[in-house]
Amino acid sequence: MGADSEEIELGQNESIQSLLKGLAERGGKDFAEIVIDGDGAPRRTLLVAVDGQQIIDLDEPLDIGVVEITLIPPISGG
Amino acid sequence: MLSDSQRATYSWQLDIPGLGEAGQSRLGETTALVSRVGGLGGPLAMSLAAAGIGRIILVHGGNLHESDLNRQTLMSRDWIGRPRADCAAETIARFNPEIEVVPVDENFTQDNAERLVEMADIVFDCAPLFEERFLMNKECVRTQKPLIDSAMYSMQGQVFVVIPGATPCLACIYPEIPGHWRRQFPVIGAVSSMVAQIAAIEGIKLLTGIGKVCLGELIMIDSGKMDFTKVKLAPKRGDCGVCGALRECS
Repeated sequence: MGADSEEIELGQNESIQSLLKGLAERGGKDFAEIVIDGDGAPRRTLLVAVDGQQIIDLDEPLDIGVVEITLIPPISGG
Repeated sequence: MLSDSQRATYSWQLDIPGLGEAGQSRLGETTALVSRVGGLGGPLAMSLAAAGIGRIILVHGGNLHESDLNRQTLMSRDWIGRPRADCAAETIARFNPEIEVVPVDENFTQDNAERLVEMADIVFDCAPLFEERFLMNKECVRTQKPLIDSAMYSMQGQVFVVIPGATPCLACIYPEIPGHWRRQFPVIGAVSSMVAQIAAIEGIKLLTGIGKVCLGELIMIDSGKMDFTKVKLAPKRGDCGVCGALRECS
């Protein structure tokens, strides 16, 4: 996306899935390819943490008090 | 029981609280497998040798290229064209002649996974390809051996400890092989070496009981900002195709 962090105000009932869709739309093709699949669903290989804790259910509405969401794409250099 | 020579070699680390002669002996009795021995695995293997791991198996297929020399610090320019596993073994054996070093001029595959992991007590995964990392993870889970998985990209690094049955495995956090990954990745040796040291430390802690191993956590390194963070991982997945059938243990 050209930035490694961004401040976002969460909407009512915002989930990681809806958040990723919005980010993918404006983040460019390479970013979109990493975070969502062809159907617009979050990639299974994208690890998402909310306030330092990995979450599995990306469709669940986020707590309004969330401070930090971390998107962790897999890396594999050695 | 340490020999006089071992006591002399490791005298500066024997005073680390909790290590002592018992911990040093455990390191000496350990066989560690490191795959591969490039920018990450090379410095990692060297630190294991310095710590006194008794037997180190270096798994890496293929010969040394000029373009490896910005990061593969066990190599030497006049070795271009030679098998990298042999070069790495030569450097380590010269550095610590008291340990055994076993070079294996192969990469990790379906065909050799069982044979290679069977030789080791602990596996350090430093391979650049997801296919190899997933194979190592699967074989370590099957044989219930600890795996220290490490990876880097550009200025970023990740280290992750797998204790089969007790922590999530690699397939729990990445349920499929990522499609976007490309074979050539940006790397500078200082970053791959730093990630290597974190993986080596986790392994040494696990083997000796010193400190606190980061279990169930993903260690993330952003050397661009010098940020070190940990993400607490979700428990191992019951539906994981690799470790899901293992009973939870502590």
